[in-house]
Amino acid sequence: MGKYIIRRFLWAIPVLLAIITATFLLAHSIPGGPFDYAGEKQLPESVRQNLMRKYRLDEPIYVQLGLWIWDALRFDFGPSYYSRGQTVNDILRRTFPISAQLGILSLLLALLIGIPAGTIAAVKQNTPLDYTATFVAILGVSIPNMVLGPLLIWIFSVHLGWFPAARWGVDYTQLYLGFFPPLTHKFWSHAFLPMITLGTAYSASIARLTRASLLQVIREDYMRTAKAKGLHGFRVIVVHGLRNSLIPVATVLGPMFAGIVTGSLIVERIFGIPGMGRYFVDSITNRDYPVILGTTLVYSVLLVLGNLLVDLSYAWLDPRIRYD
Amino acid sequence: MRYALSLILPGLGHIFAGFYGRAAIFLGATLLNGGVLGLAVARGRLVWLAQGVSARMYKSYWFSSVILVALLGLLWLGALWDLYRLGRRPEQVGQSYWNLVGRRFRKDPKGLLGAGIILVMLYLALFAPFFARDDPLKMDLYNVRSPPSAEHPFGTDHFGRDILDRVIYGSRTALGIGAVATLLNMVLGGVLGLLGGFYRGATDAVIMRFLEIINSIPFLLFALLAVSIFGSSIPILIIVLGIFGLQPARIIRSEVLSVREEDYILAAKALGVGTWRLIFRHVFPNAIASLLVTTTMSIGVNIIVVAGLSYLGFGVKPPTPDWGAMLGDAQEFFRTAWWMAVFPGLFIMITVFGFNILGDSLRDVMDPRLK
Repeated sequence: MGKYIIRRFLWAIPVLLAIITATFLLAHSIPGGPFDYAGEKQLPESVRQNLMRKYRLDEPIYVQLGLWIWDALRFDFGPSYYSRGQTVNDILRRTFPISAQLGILSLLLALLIGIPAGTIAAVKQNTPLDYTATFVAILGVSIPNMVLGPLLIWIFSVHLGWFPAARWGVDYTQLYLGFFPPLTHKFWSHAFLPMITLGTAYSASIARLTRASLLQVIREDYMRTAKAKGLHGFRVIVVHGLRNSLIPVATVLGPMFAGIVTGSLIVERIFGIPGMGRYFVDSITNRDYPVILGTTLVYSVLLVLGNLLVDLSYAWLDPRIRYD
Repeated sequence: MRYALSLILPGLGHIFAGFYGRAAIFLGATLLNGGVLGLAVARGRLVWLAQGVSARMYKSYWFSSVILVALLGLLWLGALWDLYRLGRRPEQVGQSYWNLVGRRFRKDPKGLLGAGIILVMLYLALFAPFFARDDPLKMDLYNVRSPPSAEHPFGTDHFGRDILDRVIYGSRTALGIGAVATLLNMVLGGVLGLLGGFYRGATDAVIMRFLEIINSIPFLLFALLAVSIFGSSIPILIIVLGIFGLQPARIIRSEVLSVREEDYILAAKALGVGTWRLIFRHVFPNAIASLLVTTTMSIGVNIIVVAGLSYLGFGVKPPTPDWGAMLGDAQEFFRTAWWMAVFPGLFIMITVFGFNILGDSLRDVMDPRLK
């Protein structure tokens, strides 16, 4: 097991290098440079060249790539070209916790709704309850973020006025900093709608998977054994059945993790949340190379870690699986 | 006699020969396409009847008219061919795996609903100029953001363009990009999966590592970068989506790996069957059920992703009607003009719902273990 983890970590290094190199080359091939304009006005050629030299953008591209990787190894992602006076580290430190909170909350919500809903549907197979749950789940998978988000805002913010429509962490910057947010009413009222928007599709697909795999598990012999030795029905389902049926669910958590990253770009724009995703979209428009690279690296590291966690969770869920 | 009847109207020959189920399908299809033809003629929008249209709309008319004529021709030929086939091997009718799937499918309300939704959307996309009332790009600056009314059932947008017409035309980019990108996924993923499963060893290892890297890439980030470099033309969007959705590779690979150990493959090899024939005649049919389900579902996913890119302003370019881009435009006017967001949103949702529910039903229907 230990060996396996080490091997996976070592494999992550070339993967991340490949991603970073590709991002670097792609980012630098976007037409135009970071210092072409100051506001609406075009910068004079001499000023532009001085700035390019200052940030070493006149060097050959492989030198720039090497310099960036060397700095990144020491967790220094360089200055932002666009937001003057801020480093990429500053930006990440400010925006990452917000994105992470949104992502983790949505994932938790997805699991908390999806697994019980799927279990109930499987236990009550072919009853109206099951059909309703299946129908709602397919509907939930089919609503994209950019449809659900505005819809929720329209109902709950504009008409009912229950939740604020935007401004997560804008008024109360101090309150929302830090990785573990204070669980106050203010926090939840801002987090609620984005969380639902991002989490709904995932809770729906988790529910469908849980139902499908629990239905297979229920027919296994050991389930009959458990019932035969007189265990309580609830215990049979939850302890003996659910754990075995969660393996397919764990399989999709990897891609789902990626989906949450992607979805956050859109959800952050809908709700005006100052997270990493919004910075990324802006940084592409502004040719802000260090910010593009920094955010991509953070997202990729998260994805690689997420995939690793998923693989390890198999071993925990199903002791027959061994890595050596 | 039956052929003569079939020449008059596809399906009549089937009634004469006693195949009532097939007759219903052919007659229904003829009625549907005939209805579209009637609509096009009544509105004077068949390209050969149309007069005084702009060059852009002319192209659009031409595309739909040619497709309609081709569909009708296929229907007539298909009915004749089907009759001929049925006449030659009457004892085999209704016995194949696909007949079984078809019979199960007809009893599944989920699948019928999904297929119905997709059919409607497909016809909207193919024959948009016949259904829409006007040019989707026509602006009316005196009539900006007007709420739904008799004249504009879905209201107008911030340039006074009719939202109903734009939504109808928007199905073209959504379905077109979604379907072609999925096709590309299948071809690329299929080739990789077959290679990996068949040659195993080093080839397989390289392919699996490659898939892992693709899986570790934050897709949307790369899509945004690629679109910024190459411009957001529709072919570029298709290529980007096609490269990143390679899930079919894993399915085919695992199917090949499990099938290649079977005795009948050994027998085929012993008979001297070549590699390609082995793949297409013996391995592929085993994978086709899971492939069809994945295809259906991933069209839905691709539609959502394209809409997301367009929503962020990195997808289909502005004047072209597109559901995602319409949602992006609506964001700004959301509090005052809800209809700008609600209708395109509803269409995305219904379409993706159609593909998901059809995929769900296909999974049940095509499972050979459930008899």
